[in-house]
Amino acid sequence: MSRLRRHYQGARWDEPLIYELGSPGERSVFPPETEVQIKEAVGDPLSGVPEDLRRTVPADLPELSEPQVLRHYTRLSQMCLGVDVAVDMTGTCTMKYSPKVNELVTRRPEMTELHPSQDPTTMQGLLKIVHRLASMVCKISGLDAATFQPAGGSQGIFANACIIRAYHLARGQGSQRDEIITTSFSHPADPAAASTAGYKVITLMPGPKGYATLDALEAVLSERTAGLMITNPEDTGLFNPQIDRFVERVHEVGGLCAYDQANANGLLGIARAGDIGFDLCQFNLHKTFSGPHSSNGQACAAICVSEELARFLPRPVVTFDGQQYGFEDPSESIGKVRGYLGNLQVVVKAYAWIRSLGADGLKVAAQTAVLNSNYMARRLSQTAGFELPYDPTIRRLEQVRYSLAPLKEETGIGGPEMKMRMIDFGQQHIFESHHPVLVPEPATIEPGESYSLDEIDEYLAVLEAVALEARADPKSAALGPYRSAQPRVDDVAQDDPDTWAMTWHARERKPTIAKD
Amino acid sequence: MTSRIGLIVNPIAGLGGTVGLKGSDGADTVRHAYALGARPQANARTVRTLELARSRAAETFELLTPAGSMGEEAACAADFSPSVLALPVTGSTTAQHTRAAIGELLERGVDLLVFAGGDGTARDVCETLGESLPCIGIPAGVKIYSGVFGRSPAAVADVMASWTNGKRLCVACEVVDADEEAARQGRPFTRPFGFLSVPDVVGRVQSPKSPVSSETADLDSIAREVVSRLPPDSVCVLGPGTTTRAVGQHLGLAKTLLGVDVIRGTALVAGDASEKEILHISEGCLTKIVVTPIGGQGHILGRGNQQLSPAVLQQAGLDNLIVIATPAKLAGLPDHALTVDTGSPNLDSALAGHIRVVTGWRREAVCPVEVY
Repeated sequence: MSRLRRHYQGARWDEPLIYELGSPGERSVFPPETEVQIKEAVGDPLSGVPEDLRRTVPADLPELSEPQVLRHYTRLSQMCLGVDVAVDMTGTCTMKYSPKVNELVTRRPEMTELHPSQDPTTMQGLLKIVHRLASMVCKISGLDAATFQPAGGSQGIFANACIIRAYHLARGQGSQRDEIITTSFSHPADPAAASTAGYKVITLMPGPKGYATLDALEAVLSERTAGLMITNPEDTGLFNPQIDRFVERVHEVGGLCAYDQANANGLLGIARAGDIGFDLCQFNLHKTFSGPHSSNGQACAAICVSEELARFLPRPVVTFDGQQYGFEDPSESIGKVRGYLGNLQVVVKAYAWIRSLGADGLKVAAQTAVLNSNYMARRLSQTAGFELPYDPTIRRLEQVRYSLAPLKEETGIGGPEMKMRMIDFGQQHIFESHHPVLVPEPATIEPGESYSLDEIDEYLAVLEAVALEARADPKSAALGPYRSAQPRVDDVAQDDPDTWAMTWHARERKPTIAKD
Repeated sequence: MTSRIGLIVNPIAGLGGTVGLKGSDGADTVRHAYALGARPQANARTVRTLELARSRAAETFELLTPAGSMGEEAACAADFSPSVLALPVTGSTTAQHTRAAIGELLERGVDLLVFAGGDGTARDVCETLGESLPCIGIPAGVKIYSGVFGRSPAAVADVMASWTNGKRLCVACEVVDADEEAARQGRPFTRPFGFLSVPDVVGRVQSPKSPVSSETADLDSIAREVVSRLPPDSVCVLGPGTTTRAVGQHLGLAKTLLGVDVIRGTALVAGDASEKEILHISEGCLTKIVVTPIGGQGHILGRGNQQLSPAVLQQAGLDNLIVIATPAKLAGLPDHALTVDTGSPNLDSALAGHIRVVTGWRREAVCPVEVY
């Protein structure tokens, strides 16, 4: 058995919120007085702001000195079990390593000093990277045109839903085709994006093998079908081998097919959306192509579409006339889903990652991820308390949804307890499942290709240690984590809207939250 | 305020299971089970629940329980000092004991009832309590089809812990009547029996990751969708269940829980209607029939709603059958499958295959319909 970090201790700073720090009038930086000449040249800077958009009282911002700010955020970072300090195999998230050299590249002034409104002739290098990466993801997906405008996976899926909508509208079938079909184990962003785009969502429940059957699809196809939005392999790690038939049947009734490839880590260089017949797909550059994770802030999704759908892409797209890179608005564009070209730092990182591996390297990455996942699956299927739902003999791809139902039954310790207790061994918590929870006591694990065998073995040893503890001392296993930066969070509060506040100001305004 | 929790253990619950009998109802079965070497399960499961509840609850709570095997033993084994009821408990216990214990607990005042047993125990509790007091079952019987049980002792402990911490939102959950004699002969058969009020805690059946829509929100969302599909002046026939009751509630109507009710426009025109009444009211009218599967089992027609006969269904037309269920309920069905047993083989085979199930506002799931 691998060595366990039995004496791990998370940093506990008992850190207040930033609004609770500092005092009125305190400042980090005192900018110098503006020179007279500048004042005269600029005039009243507020004169350009409409009267009714001006603040009447100053914004209520934290007021504190620079060392306090520095300590505050350094402490918070120490309290994070981030990928730079802990192994993170959070299933469906593809927490692969983001090489530091790529961070350095995007911090160069050639990147940071650019303004997105600059004339394209003054940023040919960056546009060349965008254009080249677009052709790379088209090769990888087997589709014909791409954009990186969406700032996250869900936004990419939403853009795809909008393209489907625009396509049917253009054919005069916009109101007739009001149903999008998806599956229970597809990422919840698929039904959510379809719903946000105004569609009715039809979810196929998993059949006996864990994925939806063709019969279930046939039962709901009609002239109302706008499209299929699906993940494959699904959250379970199971690949639906009839996917080409699904696509064929949806096409036969006039629908489009969008492949959610947020996590394409099991398929890179092995199977392509376009070859299966899909009309659209999206990749999360922060999952599959090693960009750092961070939701709709600095993340980035590539969406790839067939030639026929290229005219609907978000505007603008980057073009190359053989000499110059420039912008062009697709003729029937759905508009913008994000400002300018999207988060180009992530585009540069993904480009660097792909260039460093090459086509063969991408395939090896996928094969390694699948191999690692199957190594874990083999070990865990032999660990008492764990089981593989559905047919355990069907091979999973890059991730596996396990069930801890046997352990729960035997000891009272299930997914939620395992998830918490493993933090005490310096591991990032396990991801259980998206909703709805169909696998009892779920635990979804995805090792990816970047972790070493030692790290995978240590992770397995932690799972085994908690399972052993569940039998020997279930109370101890039930009440973790004990050594984490943050003691156990009351999940009852998470379910009570009266206890929520998304910002400090919302908290201040909310009458149901007691203030000290 | 310290919670006062009532505890009732059905000491013979689960007796039949370990020796392959399909239940423990009836004195003969109990004797037979003991003769086969059966050991009761309820006490040990209760002890574990109480131990876990104490370790997980931030607040202490008081226990009130009948003497001896009906709770005192388990409470003491878990190191509690319970207030013991006056009800005498000697020899073998019966359903009468359960009812009397509930009566005394109500008199002395408790805010939550925890009982250990199976569907039979739940029915005894349901008969006496109805939805008047929140309760939760420790799964200890042979057959647990009712939705009022936690998934495991640990899950019940979590509910108790949340309860004592002040989380007290409740939802109505179904108690079913499973015919043990039929089950012993390999023909599982359940029908809705009644409802108990059960604490609605995310984590009891689903694990918390992100804020999820609670059962109550799902029911409301389903009701909106169903009502949006009712043309003006159409007839709507609502089958039994809490899911269908939510549709009635959305229209401001007091739907019966176990009966089939008929609505025209926005008025309730027949509560607990018979087949004949339904046929009469819906004749010549566009009629939507709304049913929900029995939880944990999947019957949509032919169990507990025989009023929705082949004649009723044919008169309305199968296109007008609307099946509704919350995502959580579909998740809990074996193979996520529905089943029908209308009494008409032709109708059954017309329904076999796959069917759309309304799971919310503009949301449907597709489930197989199996016919045996």
